[in-house]
Amino acid sequence: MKNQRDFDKQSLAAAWDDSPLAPDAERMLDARLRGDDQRLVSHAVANLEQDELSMAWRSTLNERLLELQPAKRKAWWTLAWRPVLATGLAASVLTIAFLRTGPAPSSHAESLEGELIRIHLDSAAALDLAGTGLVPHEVASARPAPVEEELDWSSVDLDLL
Amino acid sequence: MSRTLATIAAFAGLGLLALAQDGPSRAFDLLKRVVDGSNQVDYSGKRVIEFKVGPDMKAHTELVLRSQGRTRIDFPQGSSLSGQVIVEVPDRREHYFPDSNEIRILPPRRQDAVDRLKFFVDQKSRFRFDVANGGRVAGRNTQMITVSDTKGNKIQELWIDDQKPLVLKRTMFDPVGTLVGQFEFVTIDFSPRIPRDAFRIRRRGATYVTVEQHAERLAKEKGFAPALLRDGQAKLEFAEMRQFMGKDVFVQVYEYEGKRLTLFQVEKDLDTSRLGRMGRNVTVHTWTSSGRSFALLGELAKGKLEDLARKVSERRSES
Repeated sequence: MKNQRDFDKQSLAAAWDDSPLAPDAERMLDARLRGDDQRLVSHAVANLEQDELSMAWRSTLNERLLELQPAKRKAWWTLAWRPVLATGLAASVLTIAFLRTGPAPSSHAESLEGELIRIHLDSAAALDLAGTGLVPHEVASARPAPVEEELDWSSVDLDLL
Repeated sequence: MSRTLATIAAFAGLGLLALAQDGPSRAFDLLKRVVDGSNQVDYSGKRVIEFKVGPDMKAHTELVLRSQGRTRIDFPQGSSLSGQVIVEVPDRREHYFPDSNEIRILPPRRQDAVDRLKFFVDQKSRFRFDVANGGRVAGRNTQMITVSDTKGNKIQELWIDDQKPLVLKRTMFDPVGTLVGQFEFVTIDFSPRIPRDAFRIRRRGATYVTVEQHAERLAKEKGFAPALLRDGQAKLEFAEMRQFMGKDVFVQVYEYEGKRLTLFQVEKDLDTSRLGRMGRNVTVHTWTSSGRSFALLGELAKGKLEDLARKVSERRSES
């Protein structure tokens, strides 16, 4: 009696040569195909979920691609109107402010009014500080005594007495 | 051992605390001592005075002699002030100018300066006083008083002699803390020998000119109206001509009830609101007359300033 291994060799050789199987080998093969293990596999394959064709992923991909596309160039006038409007408004506000108030006041030192305040405060401080002494304008207006008036007495003159 | 150290530290801390609390009153007492006693101190000395003039500091030296409430000031030989002599007695100040051979008669300034110092004493709640060791000034030990406003902005520093009620050094600051002036004695002698006639100016041929006459002369020379503040309480301290942007500004500084008033006369229109804005604590009144703009500035009530402004006039011609 041929064993399982001999039948397998015959089956492989027949498949290789594309020749019909011997009747014994054919019965053996049918019996094996009807076995429980084969039915289990066949049942598992039959129960597999049926994949249905979906285009949802393709739609999502299209949307992504549209987003990544460079934006179309806008016309120049649609870009320019906002800065032009802003600049115009700012210029109008400045013009109105300037016409209402005139030139902006300069610093204390540069305006006559500032100079008057400074002179007033400085004079008061100078008089406080100087006491009986001279105040700045008296120092500034000083002119030296005429040459002929300067008699330079010294200890030598006293020694002669 | 550690208990002893802790006791010593506690006593030291209490002592420092007491000193810190005592500082303002000690400073105040020192200041009061100067106000009350400075008229009784006799001395001769050399002092250097420095003022902020425009952006710069300008210094000059004075040789001061003081005795029995009278003061004489000379100037070192070789200086531009050499030959000028100032003599001040309680009711009069004379200033001799050798170049014009003129003796100018002015109101005394000393009492006014003392009164201004007294202002700190009278208004002590408006100021903060601190005292510290001032080191040596003119070879004398001093105490230094710092006078600040209530916010702590320094107004003045005064170095007061340890033994005598005299200010030997003084510095003054503007509202933003910039030094605007200072003086310092570099030598001092509290036992001076007083030359005879030291407190009289006698010069044959010299012309006596009052400060009012000087102001009127100055105004006429520069084409201004010789208009002065003619009020019995207002004392003309000095008059001067300033320049601003190539134009003359006629300035008169008055003392009125312990406060300073400045009368300006200019050729162009003045912006009163701008003056008011810039003056902060200074009250301003402006007006025009005969094509000139006038401004009266001072720390007085607006109504008072307006009253005084109505008294600014030219002298009535004598018939």
